[in-house]
Amino acid sequence: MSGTANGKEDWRDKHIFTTGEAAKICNVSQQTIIRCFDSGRLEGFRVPGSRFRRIPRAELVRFMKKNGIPTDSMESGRTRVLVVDDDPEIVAVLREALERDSRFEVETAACGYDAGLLTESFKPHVILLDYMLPDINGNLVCKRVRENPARADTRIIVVSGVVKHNEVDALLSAGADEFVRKPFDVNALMDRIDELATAK
Amino acid sequence: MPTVNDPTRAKRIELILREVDTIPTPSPIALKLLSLASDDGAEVSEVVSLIESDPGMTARLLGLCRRSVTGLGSSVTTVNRAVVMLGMDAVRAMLLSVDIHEFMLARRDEELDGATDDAQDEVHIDRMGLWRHALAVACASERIVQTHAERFSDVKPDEAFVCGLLHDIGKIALDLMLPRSSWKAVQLAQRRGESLASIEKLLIGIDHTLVGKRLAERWNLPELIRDVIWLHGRLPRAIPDLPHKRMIGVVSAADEIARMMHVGVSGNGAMPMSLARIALTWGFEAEKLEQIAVSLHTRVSVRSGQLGMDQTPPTELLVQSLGVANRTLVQLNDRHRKRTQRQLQLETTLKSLQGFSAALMESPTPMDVMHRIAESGRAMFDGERVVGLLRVDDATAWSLALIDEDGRIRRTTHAAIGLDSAALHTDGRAVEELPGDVLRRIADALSLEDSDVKKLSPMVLHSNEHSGAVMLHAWRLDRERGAAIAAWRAAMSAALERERADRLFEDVTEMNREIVAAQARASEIESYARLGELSAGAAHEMNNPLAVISARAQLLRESMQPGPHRDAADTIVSSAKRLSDLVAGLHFVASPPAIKRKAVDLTDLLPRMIRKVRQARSEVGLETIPVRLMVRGPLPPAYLDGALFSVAVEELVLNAMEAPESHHVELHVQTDEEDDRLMVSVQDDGRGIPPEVLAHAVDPFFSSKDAGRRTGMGLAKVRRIVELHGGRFQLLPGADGRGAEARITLDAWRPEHLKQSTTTASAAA
Repeated sequence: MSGTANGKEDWRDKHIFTTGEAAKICNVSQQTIIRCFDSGRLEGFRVPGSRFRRIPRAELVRFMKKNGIPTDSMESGRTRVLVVDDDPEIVAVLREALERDSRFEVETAACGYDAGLLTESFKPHVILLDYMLPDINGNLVCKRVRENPARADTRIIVVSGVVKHNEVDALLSAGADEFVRKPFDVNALMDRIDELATAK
Repeated sequence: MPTVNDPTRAKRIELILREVDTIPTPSPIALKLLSLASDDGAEVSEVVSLIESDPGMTARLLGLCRRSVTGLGSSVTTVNRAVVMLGMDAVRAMLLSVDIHEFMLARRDEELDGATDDAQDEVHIDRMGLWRHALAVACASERIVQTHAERFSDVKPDEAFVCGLLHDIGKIALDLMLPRSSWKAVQLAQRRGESLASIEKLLIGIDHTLVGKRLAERWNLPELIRDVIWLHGRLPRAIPDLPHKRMIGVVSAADEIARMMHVGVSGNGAMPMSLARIALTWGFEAEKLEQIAVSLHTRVSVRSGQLGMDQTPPTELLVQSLGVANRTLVQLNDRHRKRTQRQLQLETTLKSLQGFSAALMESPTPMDVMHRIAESGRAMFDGERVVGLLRVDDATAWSLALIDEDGRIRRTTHAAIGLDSAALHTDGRAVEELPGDVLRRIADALSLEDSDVKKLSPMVLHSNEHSGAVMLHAWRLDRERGAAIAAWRAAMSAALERERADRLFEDVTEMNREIVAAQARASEIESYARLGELSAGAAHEMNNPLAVISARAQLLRESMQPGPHRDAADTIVSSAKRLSDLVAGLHFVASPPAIKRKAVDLTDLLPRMIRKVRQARSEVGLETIPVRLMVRGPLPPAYLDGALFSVAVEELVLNAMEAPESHHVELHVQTDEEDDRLMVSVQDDGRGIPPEVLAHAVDPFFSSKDAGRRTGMGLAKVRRIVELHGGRFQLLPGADGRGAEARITLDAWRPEHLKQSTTTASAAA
C-alpha cells in the first residue's frame, strides 16, 4: 500500500494508517496498537459498515511522541525535489547540493514541458522553479500545478535572478509559495525546502 | 459726405438739372431777342415787328429812348425810329435788361408771398444785390470792349453788356430751386473766403455755372451767352479753345472789377484780383481797367436810371459799396482773428505735444503715459485736477490715479468700478459720459466728492476687451486739439499694447521654462525607464552565473578545512552577493516598487533596525560601534512602507558605522510640533565628508577614495525611498564640525496628511 522508494517503506505521504502499519511504524505488536485503540489512548475511527480500525496521521504522531517512540520512521521518506531551470550549470549545482543531502531525492527539467510531465510522474514535494523558461514562463507552471488537486500539497519555490518587483508579485500570486533570489545561500535553501516539505 | 463717384450724388445732380427745365422762361419776346443776339444780319423789321406786337414792350422802349439819349427827347415816337436811332443791339440790350431784371426780382416777390419774412430774409441770397452785381459786370464788360476797341473790332459793346448781365443767371436758378442750400453756400463762401462755385460743388454737388449753362440751353440762348455763363471766372488756360474765349475773358475781368469795387453782391467769397493781375491774366490794359473801375458806380447808377428800374444815385451806390466792403472787411478780420486764434491753439498744442513726446521715456508704462497726458493737458489749459483710469490686460480692477492741479499724482488705487472697457466705444464712437454708478465708485475709491468727479468729462484714450484708458478732465477739447488727442491716444495705445505684449512675453517665457523643466523631467523619466529595463535584464542575466559561482563556492567551502582556502571561498560568495546587490540596487533606483503604506510604530521599528545592522555586521565578523537612538517628542504611528523605510534607515546606520574614524553613531528621531514633520537623522563623528564630495555622494556609483565610504547604490537607494515617501533626503556636514549627518525629512507621514494630499491632488486634477 505504501510507497517503496529505494526499497524502504515510505510513510510520508500517508494520512490514514491501519493498525498493522501503525504497529510497524511504532515497532510494537499489532495487538498492542489494537489495545491502545480500543482503550482510547490511541484515537481513531472504524471504517463505516465494518470493524476495521483506522488511525489518522496526526493522532499517530501525537501517540508516538507521547510514548517516547521516535518519529523518524514517519519522516523516513525523502523529500522529492524537482529542479526546473534552463541553465544546466544551475541545474547541476542544485542537483549536487540536494543529492549530497540524504533528505532529498532529485529530478530535473530544463523546460516547462518536461516540468509538467515530471510533476505528474515524480510527484515532487517541492519544485524549485526558475522564472524564465525557454517554452513557458514560471508563473504558468505555477498555475498548472495549482490547478491539479492531486498536487495540492506540492510546494513551489521560485529561484530566480529576476529583480522586477511586479514579476515577483505575479509569481507569488500565480501560486508560488516562496521566492528566493539568485545567487542563494545553499544551506539556507536546503533547510527551507525541508521546512516547507514537512510543514503539513 | 458723398464723393464724386457716389451714385446718389450723380442722381442728385441729375434731379437738379431736371428741375432747371421747370424754371419759367422770361417773356417770349426777350427770348426771341436773345436768340437773335449773335445773328448780325437780323432783320431790323423783324425786331421792330416783334416789339410792336407787344404794346407794353413798345411803350417801355420809347420810354427808354426818351430817358437815355439826350437830345432825342420826344422825337422818338415809333419803334422803328428807336431802332434806327439807337441801333439794333442797343435796343436789344435795353429790352433784355429790363426783362431779366424783372425775371430776377419778380420771381422772388412771388416766392415771398405766404412766407414769413424772417425766414425768407435769413435763407435767401440778396437778389437786389445780385442784380446790381450783374448790372455792374454788364457795364464793366461793355466798357472793356469799348476801351479796347482795337482788339474787339468784331465785338459789339452791347453784346458784352448782355453777356455780363446774364453771366450769373445760374445763381438765380440755384436760389430758385434750392434756396437754403445756395444761401448756405454763399454764407460759407463768404466766411471761408473761397469761391462760391467750389463751395456749391461741395454742398450741392453742382455749381451755378453748370446750372446756368443748362438754363441757357433750355432757353435756346446763343452759344456765346451760354459759354459765358458756363465758363466765366475761369482762368484762360482752363478754358477750352472756343470762339468766344475773348468774351469770356471780358466778362471774367468785369466780374473781378465789379467785385473789387463792391458793386452789388456776387456771393463769391474769393478775394478779387488786383487790376494789374486782371490786366495780365486776360490781356487788357491796366490803366483802362482802372478808369472803368473808378467810374463803375456812376455808370451803374446811370444805366440803372436809364433802364428805369432803380434810381439810386452814384453816391448812394458808393455808400452801399462801402457797406459791402466794410462787411467784407469785418468778415476778413473775423477770419483773420479766427486763424490767429487757431494758430495760437495749434502752437500751444504743438508745444505741449513736444513736451509730451520728450517726457515719454522709451518704454513708458500706461500710468506713465497717463501722467504725461495730464501734464500735457495742463500745458494747454489751466491746471485742473484730472482722474486717470486704466485697465490693463484683462484685469478685473481698474487702476485709478488722481492727478492734482500741480500735475503730481496725488493718489492711486485699484478698484473694481464696474466699467467694461469694451463698452467705452459704441458704434465706433467713444462714449461721452460714464454711468453714474461708475462715477460714484471712482469717487469712493479716490476719496473724492461725487460732484467733483461728475463735473469731469471722460476722454477715452484706449478701449478694447483687454484694456482701457480713460482720462476724466475739465478741459475744453475742441477740434483744434485733435492733434494732441490723437497723439495721446496713440501713446496710450502703444503703452497698453506694449504692456500686454510684455505680459504675454513673460507668460511665454514662463511657459518655455516649464516646458524645459518638463522636458528635463520627461527625459529623466525616460532615462530612468531605460535604465530600469536595462538593469532588470542585466540582473537576470548576471544572477544566473553569479548563482552558479556562489553556489559552487559554497559547496567547495563545505569540503574544506578552515584556512585560507575556505576564506577565499567565503570571499567568492560575498563578492557574488555584492555584485548581485549592486545590480538589484541599480534596478531599485531606476524603477522602484510602489510603496505600500501601513501604520508603523517607529519606537518599535527603529531599535530593530539598529539591531539588524549590528547583527549583520557581527555575523560576518565586522566591528560594530555604539548606536544611540534619541527620540524627541511623542511618536504617533507613521504611515510608511515599513520594509522600504527600514532598508533606508539601515543603510544610513550601516553607512555611519563604516565612516572612517567614526566611534559613535546617533540616530535622532523627532517630530516638529509646529509644522508636523518627521525627521530621522543619522549622525556619525567620523572624519566627515569634503564639500565637493558631499554634493555627489548620493549619485549612483559615485566613489571617492577620500570619502572612504561604501560606494555604489546605497545612498541613491535611500534617496529614492525617501522620495517615494514624498520626503527629502540630505547629506550634511556634521553639526560640530566632525562627522556627517544624513537626514530624512517627511512632511506627509500621518494619515491626515495623506488624506489631505490626496484630496488636493484630486481637486487639482
